[in-house]
Amino acid sequence: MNHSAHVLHQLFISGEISAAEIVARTFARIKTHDSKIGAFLSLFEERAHQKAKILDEKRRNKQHLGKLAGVPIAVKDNIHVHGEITTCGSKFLTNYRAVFDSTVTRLLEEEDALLIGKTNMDEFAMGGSGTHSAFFPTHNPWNLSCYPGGSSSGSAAAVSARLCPVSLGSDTGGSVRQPGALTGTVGFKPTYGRVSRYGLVAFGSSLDQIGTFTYSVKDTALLAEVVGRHCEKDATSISLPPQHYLRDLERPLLEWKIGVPWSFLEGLSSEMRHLFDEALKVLEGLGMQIVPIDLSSFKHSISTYYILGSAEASTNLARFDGIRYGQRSKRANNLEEVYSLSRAEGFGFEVKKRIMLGTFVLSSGYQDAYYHKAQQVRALMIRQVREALTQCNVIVLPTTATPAGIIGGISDPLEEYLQDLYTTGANLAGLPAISVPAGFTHDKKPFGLQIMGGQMRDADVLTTAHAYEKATTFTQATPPLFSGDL
Amino acid sequence: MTEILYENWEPVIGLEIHVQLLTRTKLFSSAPNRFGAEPNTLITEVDTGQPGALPTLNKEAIRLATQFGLAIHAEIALVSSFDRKSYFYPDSPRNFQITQFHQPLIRGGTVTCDVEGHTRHFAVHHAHVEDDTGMLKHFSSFAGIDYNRAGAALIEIVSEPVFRTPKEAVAYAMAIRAIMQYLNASDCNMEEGSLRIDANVSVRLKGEKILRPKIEIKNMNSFHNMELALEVEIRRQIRAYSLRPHDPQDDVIGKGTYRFDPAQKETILMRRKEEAQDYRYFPEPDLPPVVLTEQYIEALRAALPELPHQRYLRYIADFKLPPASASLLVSDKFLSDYFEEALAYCSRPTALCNWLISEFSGRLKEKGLTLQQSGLKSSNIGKLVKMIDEGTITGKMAKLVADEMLADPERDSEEIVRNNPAYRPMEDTAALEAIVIQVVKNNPESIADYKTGRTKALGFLVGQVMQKTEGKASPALVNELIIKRMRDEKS
Amino acid sequence: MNLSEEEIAHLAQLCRIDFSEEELKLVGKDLRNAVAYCEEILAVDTTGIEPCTRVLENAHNHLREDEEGPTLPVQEFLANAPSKVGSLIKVPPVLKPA
Repeated sequence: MNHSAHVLHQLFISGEISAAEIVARTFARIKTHDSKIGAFLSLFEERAHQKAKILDEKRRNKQHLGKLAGVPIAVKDNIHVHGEITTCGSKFLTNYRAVFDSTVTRLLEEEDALLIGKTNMDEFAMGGSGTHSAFFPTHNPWNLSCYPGGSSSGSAAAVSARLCPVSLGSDTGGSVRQPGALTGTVGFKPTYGRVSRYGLVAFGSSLDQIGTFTYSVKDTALLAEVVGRHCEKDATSISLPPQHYLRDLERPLLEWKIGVPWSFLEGLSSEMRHLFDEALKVLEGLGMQIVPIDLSSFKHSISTYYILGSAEASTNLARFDGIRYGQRSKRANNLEEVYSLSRAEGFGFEVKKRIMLGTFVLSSGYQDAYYHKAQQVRALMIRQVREALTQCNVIVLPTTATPAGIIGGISDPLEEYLQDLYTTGANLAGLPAISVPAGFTHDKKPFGLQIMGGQMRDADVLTTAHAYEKATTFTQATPPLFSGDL
Repeated sequence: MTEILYENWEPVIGLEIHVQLLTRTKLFSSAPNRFGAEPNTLITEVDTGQPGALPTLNKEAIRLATQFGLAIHAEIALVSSFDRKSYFYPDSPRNFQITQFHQPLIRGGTVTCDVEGHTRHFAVHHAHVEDDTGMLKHFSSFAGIDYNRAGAALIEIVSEPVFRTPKEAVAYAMAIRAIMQYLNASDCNMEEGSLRIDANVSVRLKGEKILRPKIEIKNMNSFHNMELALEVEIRRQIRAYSLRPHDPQDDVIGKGTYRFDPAQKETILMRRKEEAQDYRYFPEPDLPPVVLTEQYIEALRAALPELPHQRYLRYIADFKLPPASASLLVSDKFLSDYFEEALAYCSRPTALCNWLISEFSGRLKEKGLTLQQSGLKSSNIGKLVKMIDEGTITGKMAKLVADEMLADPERDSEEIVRNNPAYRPMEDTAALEAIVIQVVKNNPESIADYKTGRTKALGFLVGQVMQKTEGKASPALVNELIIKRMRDEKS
Repeated sequence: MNLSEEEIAHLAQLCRIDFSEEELKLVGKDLRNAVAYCEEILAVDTTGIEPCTRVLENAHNHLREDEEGPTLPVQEFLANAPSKVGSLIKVPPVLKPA
């Protein structure tokens, strides 16, 4: 079961493997391995079996089959599937059943994908480790004592351990790319607005995008074509027609320019710097030219991101008040207690912190200094990266400054925030960005290379990633602990 | 005992009027926008603040709001945007409202209306679009929430604090209502809550330039109560300052929200505003700005229907209606449309107007009906006035016919008259002449008066004849006969 | 910029989150550290820079036709409700406005 999605799809279409068998094998592996990993919060066994039956029937009758027929896909638990539980990794939503389908999962099912379950995550997408889920932590398949990154921890780990070839995540400050890098998978975030946010539980509305994990850039391109379309129900959705990423995947990169923001990378450990240099050599080998670019304003990424993201989140999470849905505190004796006790009991500490920070930066007397200022710095960053992109086709940098650490090893919360240093810029500027597996540290922890492009230049990002992938073998590496039965 | 010199003070009133727009669907969702349905049946994931839901802006709401802005000659912002306004309350599905704080759609503007015979122009500060809350139903040991109304499109119109009397404020509010009706932008039903008026009230000494602390009066549910509430509150504030002339103003009139109790005829404190609410407004990231083109705006301007003030001027110019009557007619679109329909059947607008706003209005009030509810056809009222004009019936008889019309609204007024000979005027000219001769003979002073140019004397004589005929004679005919008789007498 | 204990408590009230005394101290400490870190942007020269409110160039006007669409069935809405009475969401008594 090490097939990538497009290969699996072909095997299904050709009749070599049935959908029923795909589903059976998928759940069997999950049941064997997930207890060690903690990637899944819920499984859609009934639903997947039913869908598999229908697919096998359709194939027997030579009816039209969608582009993702036969492909098992896991969904981060902040993305709705109508009628199924959506927890967002939080106690607050323990029994909350989605009352509508997200556009993305609807599009996937229309292309006959097999949705197999919901994955674990840092609560309400706040976190970069996978240790902030209210339920249990997720472990990194490459080293179980390490975290897989977050907040899309379960989705990354599931694909990393080959429990499924594709999973959906969400990326607000790096929550797809960072765990992608830490788990040796391809983690992609599209241009802001390219993929509908309808049905994604909002964290930072101007930063969020639904992304994917795969172990093949071609799969990433396939998924991006299916879900990258205009959505009537999302007013921030881009109106342009879907793009042809697959068709553009094999474009030659001769004389393409790669921008590298050298000054921004000062402070990288020598090991990480070495891995990055090696990756650059591969790209040069493909005919690309390295040009230095100035992204010095990106050193303000973390501050800007935390101010703006928390501000938006503090209002997005205000709806969780125990009134219409969610866990209402049994101790509440009056209305004010319904609010304050339900939220005290339902939210984890990290979430509470971010709500407080967000409320602070918006509060009277401080809004001008913090929120307003952060918006200006955001504008500055956008201006600078647009300027940089006039000098290069894509920008390249490491996805993270450090590899996966030990679970519980982060003592300083600020340290966890700093892990987002290289990823938050793409969210602040609305740019497409991908992390591709690009090597290992001396202690066998995956290293990710990040490729970032201009707005709506997702194809350039995917093409570069694809070329890099073909020139290396890192994407094919599987975690030893979970490779035995592949 | 302090004597309170009310006349030394002037009120300063500003109004915030919320109008529910007549759109088929809500402002940010496609849920039906209707009143009176079963609780929680007109909702979507957006209106109930479900996680993962996103707002989408209703095109029609923008069109109606823009037309309103044009109707009050305001500046229409080519770029406007939405903001989140945060506060926790159970009728709020998200605990933030989506409103327009930084860049509203409509800026400035003037509402022109008639206040006690004078044309006045009142300045509007701005108007913006926002979503409505759900409804709380209060029971003794709990409250229930119905989200049917949550998300309905509202336009909030904020005036400058320019009203100096309750009548001015009421006239302005009625003018806003009329404009909305004429644009078909809202049904402006105060009972159903599609028109809500909040007033900010303070007072100051005449000549004082500063503004003293103000309070807010909410939930005034009729124009009558609004006028009363304002009068009562103004007097309360003046009394308070007069009785405590040396205390700090903030202590005398503490900021707060009041409601009006029509039974007690007093304003009652609902809650104090301890500190200004920190709404933490910031741009709504889920909605892009609204960008309008000049063409769009001009097309809407060209499509504006006749507005109340224009109609008011037309009624005065074309129909020679007295301003007060014209004002009353145009203030209600149904009434003035009805008037124009009825006018097709008769030729004296002033008479028709009086019949509508005085005679019929009085009868309807007695029955507790509105004109709309009565079922009376405009054609029948028009024909009634026509019959008076043509001399088919007298004014006095017409009143009896009107009574019958109200008892049986479906009946044709001409048919009522045809079927009842008692309504028809006296046709016996000979008998009439005899009466005229008698009256003229018995009133030589009047004849003398008339001959000296006092035309009023004629009216007196006509009245005498009308009395003797129990109002059945045609006044025009009587008039004619009397003049003829007086001439004959002379000779 | 040092947030006082009163300010932290006030923020907690604005957020409608009940913190124990201990938790309030903890969140206060973390909040102060986060704010202290973020303060670095105050020194950035942003003269003449318009604040960014839209990340997409040219984003505007995603207007919807005024036509009725499917509604959320009341039973499905209430299925997630912690407390209901009839088809109303039930809450403890609310300060009555009138």
